[in-house]
Order: sequence, then structure tokens, then C-alpha cells
Amino acid sequence: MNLTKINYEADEKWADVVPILQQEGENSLAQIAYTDEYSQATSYLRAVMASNEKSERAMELTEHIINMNPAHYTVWLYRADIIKTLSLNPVKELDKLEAISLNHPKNFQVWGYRQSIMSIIPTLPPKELSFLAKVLAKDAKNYHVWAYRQWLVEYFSLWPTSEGKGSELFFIDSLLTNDVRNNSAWNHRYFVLFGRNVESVMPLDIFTQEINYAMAKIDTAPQNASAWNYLKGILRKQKKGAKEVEHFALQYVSLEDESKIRSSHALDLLAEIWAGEASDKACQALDLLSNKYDPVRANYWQYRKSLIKAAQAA
Amino acid sequence: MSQASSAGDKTSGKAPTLNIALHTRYWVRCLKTFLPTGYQEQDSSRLVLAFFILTSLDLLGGLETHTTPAERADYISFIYSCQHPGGGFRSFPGTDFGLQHATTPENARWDPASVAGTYFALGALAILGDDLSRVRRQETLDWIRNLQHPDGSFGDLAAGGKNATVDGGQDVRFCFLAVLVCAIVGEEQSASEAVGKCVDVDRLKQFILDSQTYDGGIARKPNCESHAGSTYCAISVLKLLDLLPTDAIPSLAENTNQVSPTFLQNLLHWLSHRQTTMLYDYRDTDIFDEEDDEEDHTSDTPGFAVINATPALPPSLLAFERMDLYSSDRPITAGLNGRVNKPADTCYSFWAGATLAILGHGNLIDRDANRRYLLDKTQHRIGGFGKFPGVPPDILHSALALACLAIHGEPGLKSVDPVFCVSKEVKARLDKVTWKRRD
Repeated sequence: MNLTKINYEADEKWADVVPILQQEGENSLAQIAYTDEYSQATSYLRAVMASNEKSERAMELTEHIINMNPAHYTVWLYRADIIKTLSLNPVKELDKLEAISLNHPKNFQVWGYRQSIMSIIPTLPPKELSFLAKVLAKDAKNYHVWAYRQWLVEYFSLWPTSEGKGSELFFIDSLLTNDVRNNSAWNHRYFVLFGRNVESVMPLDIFTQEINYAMAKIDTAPQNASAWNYLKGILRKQKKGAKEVEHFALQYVSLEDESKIRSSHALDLLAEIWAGEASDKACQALDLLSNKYDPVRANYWQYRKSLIKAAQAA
Repeated sequence: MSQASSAGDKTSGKAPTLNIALHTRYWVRCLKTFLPTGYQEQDSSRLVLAFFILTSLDLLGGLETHTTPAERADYISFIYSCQHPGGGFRSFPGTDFGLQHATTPENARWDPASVAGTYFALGALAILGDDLSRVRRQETLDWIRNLQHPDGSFGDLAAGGKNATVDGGQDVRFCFLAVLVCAIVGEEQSASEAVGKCVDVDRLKQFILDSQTYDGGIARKPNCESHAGSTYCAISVLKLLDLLPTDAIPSLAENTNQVSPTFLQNLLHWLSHRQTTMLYDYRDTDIFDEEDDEEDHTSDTPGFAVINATPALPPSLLAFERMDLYSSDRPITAGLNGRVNKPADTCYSFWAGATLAILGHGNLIDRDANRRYLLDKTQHRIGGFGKFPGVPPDILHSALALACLAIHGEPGLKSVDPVFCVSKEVKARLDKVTWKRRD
């Protein structure tokens, strides 16, 4: 379908429809220099919506508008309703969505729409995961895509049972190998391992496995906040103190020999570990962060110090 | 991407300034002339754009001097024309079928009120000095109540009526906007009472607590990645519900209603880490696809806490490992990012900075470094602010940069309420609308 020049007024197919023009006074707010094409198409959209028409031509009209304004929220709801009413093939619709998803990757509505179409498909279409990989190859941190992928994992129960090829863990690991600072991938890893409501299926040694995984990744990039956050998150989930990884963190920090300090995040974690029983060392670490290794957050590190002092006074 | 050069390098020690007249001209243009066709992709957020134009001009002190009473009356009429008969406001006139076409049970779903349209309409009316007396209060409260899902979150779209189909959901932005609307429209003076009377507060609170991630930030919904925009919305809700502690140093005795000290400490850790010297300079690089950037802030609607995705940074630039080492005599320029390991982006100076201010910890970031980022790096010579250094200004980033500066007490700007994103004068008007009971 040629999307560039559609003139509804001149098209016999639309002769029976009276367009509804947009009403607004002279001094309205945030007026936009709409193209004539957009003004005309939306006037026909209002007309078919008012009569609740569900037809092939209404499908074409929604596609035309989506291409001009993919954030038009009711046009997507209306299109989904036409598909359901006319029992159109949802898998074919997914194919159609591919181009618009790649052209407008940050659009919010297209992913909610994809979810509503996917909800009427009983089994995971074989192309779905490779399609998502393609979108993530363009932007590996696309928030909407990750949120949608979580829904997909839950809906089709794609929880990983191994790290083998085709599993979510394998996919995440390939993204982290490519960019170990991809926080979205770290978050997805946490989700597929710990986000499931039924905890009984989790292998007992999952915590050890993930602590080792995070430590190995930290060693490749000691200044990567994502991996440190993941490590701390796993320890919290396990309800164990960070004390367990003190020895590990000390590989990147020495209070005696400053030339050996390689990670502000290690200093931060050690300050947390030492806050209770070795508060002098904790304060020393926080001062190093304030004065030298992370001065942009000096106020925060001093606040942390004030918490230690307050606990001592109590 | 570049490590920021200090203000000293660039301006030989001259302190950066906010050019009030220049910014006022930018906002008057946005108010009085057609927005360029590029904004067509934000057509469904017309009232969101209107709100940010009006609140910015108000913060600059230019609204009354640059508009006539007749113009303001027209603006008010326009906003009321977007009011939905069943309660709430549309976020643009485009779904209205007009007087000749009756709304039926069959077509009602295609012309809903939106939760974003509703808050931004109410806020814009108050900025314009309207007394909100034409707002359909009871219908709006019923409509909001109907928007809440069993999991505590809110949908964003529904036509009026208690059994209307609710679309959208599981997004803390809609929770935030719904709570703001309740706080304004309810007759109770305190926001927490007004909200408590209208919706299920316990489930709403649980939805938000469940959205805190393992790193301490808060996600759009449970299990998603922590995000500064979501965090702002979540903390604003907790603030309005009186669930945040007021002491800077948390007391050891936990108040069972308030969020736990652990929740708060993990959150403050995450929020303070949003400040970064990793800047993305548009002029330095060709890896940034122009089309992508425009879509970044144009296609996310009707909510306004835009999720900004950025193309992955090239591995060559990411490969280096460094800490932010500075000698103390050299000023730092550092903006804020929205997620871990992302470059600074103007709007997060507000989303993360305002959140810290709401928590009573606005000083945990380096406010001078942030100010240099906004004024030296993203302030544009035609007025307004760009998303990144070297990027042309747009309404959302320009408004949020101003609001951030106002929170931090920038000379020449009115003080701002960080939750409602309106000047404190306007907030005082909202607190005194005629239906508020005087306790």
C-alpha cells in the first residue's frame, strides 16, 4: 500500500463517509502545524470510530495514521478491536508490525499493541525471539522491548531451565559479553532467575552460581556499577550480609596502598561491610570516595558517614 | 561522548547564567505560534505540551506580562473543551466526535478521558488563574476510582461511567497522575485523605514497593529496570500518601506505615549515583542517528515521564575503565542519567533531582556540577534546553531543566513545587479551590 499520498476525499471507496473535522477555537494551546494529509486522515478516523465501523478500509486507515503518528493511543485500541471482530490472522498482523516497530523503536503504544495481539495467539510464534533480538540489536537498552519480553517470558513460560542455546540465560549472556555494562540485560537476568512467583523450582545453588557470575564479570570491568549492583542484590535476596564478599572486594582496594585502588564501587561496598564493626575503616573509605575517587558524590558519601556517627551515638 | 570539560576551560572562570529574557522568548514562541510539524507525533499529548509551556512561562515570571486576559480566557475555554462528559479530560481534542455525533456504548471506548490529560488540564487551568469551578468533580472521582486495577496500579484511559472499559495499566506514571488528580479534586484538605477516600491505598502502596528493584531504584512496574522517571512518580505518590519519613537520619524505630529505612537507604544510594560526568555530546559523534533522537521524546504519550532509550555506546568508548578522579580546584560538570550506565540527559536532572528534593535530600547530588551541565552544556542559544549537549531544544526537556533549576533556587525563577511541577503560588491556589473543606 502506498502510504505517501492518500486522498480520502477523492477516493470512491470513502464517498459514503462524512469526515468529522477537529474542533478547536482560535487561541487554543500547543497548536501543531499538522500536514493536510494528517488532518484529513484523522477526520475520517473520527467518522469511522463514531459509527464504530469494523472493516478492511478502516484497517487501512488506522495503518495510515499510525505511520504519521504512532503515539495516537486510540487508533491502536481500535485496530486491535477490528482484528478481533473480523477474526483477522494475528500472526500476519505481527509481521506487519515489524517495520513500524523498527522505525519507531521508542514508541510506547506499539509494544502494548503487540502484547494484545500476542494474547490471542496460543503458542509462541517461531519468529518472535529472533525479531526481538533484531530490535535489541538496534538498541540493547530499549525499555519497552524489555518490559514486553518479561511479559512474554511469563505468558509463554520461557523460564530458563538451562544455560543452553535458545534459553533466556544464553541470550542474556551473549548481550553481556557484547556489553558488560548493559544494565537492562542484568535486570532481565535477575528477573528470569528470581522474578518467578513460584520459588520452589529454583535450584539450591543458584545464589552461589550468580555470585560467581557477577564476580567474574566484575573482574573484567571493576568500575562497572551494573555488576556490583547485581552482586549486592543477590546477597540481599539470599538474606546474607555483604561480609561474604569482603575478601573479593579487597582485591580492588587497599587502604594502605592507594595505588591499588581500582574501583569506587568496591570502596563503597567495603564501607557498607565495615560500617558496623570497623567504623573507622568505613569512614576512611568514605573519605577516600569523597575526596578523590568519586568526588561528584561527596555529599552522599559524607551523608553515609553521618549515618555511621549517628548509629554510634545511639 | 565526552568527559565534560570544566566551566573554567570554556568560559575562563565566568559563572554560567540563565538568560531569562532568552528563555521567555522561547516559551512565548511555543505558546503563540504553531509548533513545527515534527510535533505531530505528540498530537495526542497536546495538553501535556500546553501544561509545560504554561508552567515554564509562569516560572520565568512571564505569563501575565506576555498574555492578555482575553487570551488567557481563550486558553481556559480550550482546556474545558477537552473535558470529558463522563469525568476527566481528553489529552487532545482529536478523539472528540463533536456535538452532532452521539456517544454510544459501542463508540465510547474510542473517545476516552486520559489520566495524563486530566492532571495536566487541571494544572494548566490553575496556572491560568481559573478557579476550576467548571470541573466535573464527582464524575472525575468516579472515573479515577474505576481506573484502578486489582493489583493497585492504574489504567490511563477510560470513557466515563462506572463500568467503562479501562485501557492501559501496570505503570507507575499513571498511579502518580491519578493520585495528583484525586488530591486536587477531592474535598479533603490533605492529599492522603483525599486519595484514601477515592482509591485503594494499600494496594497502590504495595504495587509501588514491589516495583523497587534489587539495585534500589524503582521501575515502571514490578521486575522492570529501575528508572529515574518511574522513581520520581513512585516517590511523589509515597510523599502525597504521607509514607515517607521526614527525618534526614532515619530513626531506629520503624513506623509501620512508612517505608522502611532499608527501602530508603537503597533508594538514596541509587538516586545519588544518577549523577555522572559521562556526557553525550551530539556534536562529537556520528553514531547517533538523528531520527532515533527525535523519536526519543516525541512518541511516548499520553504519559509524560518519557522513557528515553539511547543507542548503545560504541565498545571502543566503553572499553576504558576509569574512576571520576578530579583535583579539588577544578569544577566538575556532571548531569544526571535515568538508568545505570547511561549518559546524562537533561530531563533526568529533574526526575532524579526532584525526587531527592522531595525526599528532603536535594543536596546529595553536586548541584553546582548539575547547574553547569544545564547552563553550559544543554542550554540552547535560541532559548530552551536540549536533551544532550548540541541537540536543539524541545518542550519537555526545556521545561524540566527550568523546573530543576527552580528547585535548586536559581535566581530569576519562581520557587516550584517539585511534585506538582507548578510554582508555589499556583500550588497554593490548588490547595484553596472552593470545595476544599477547611479543617
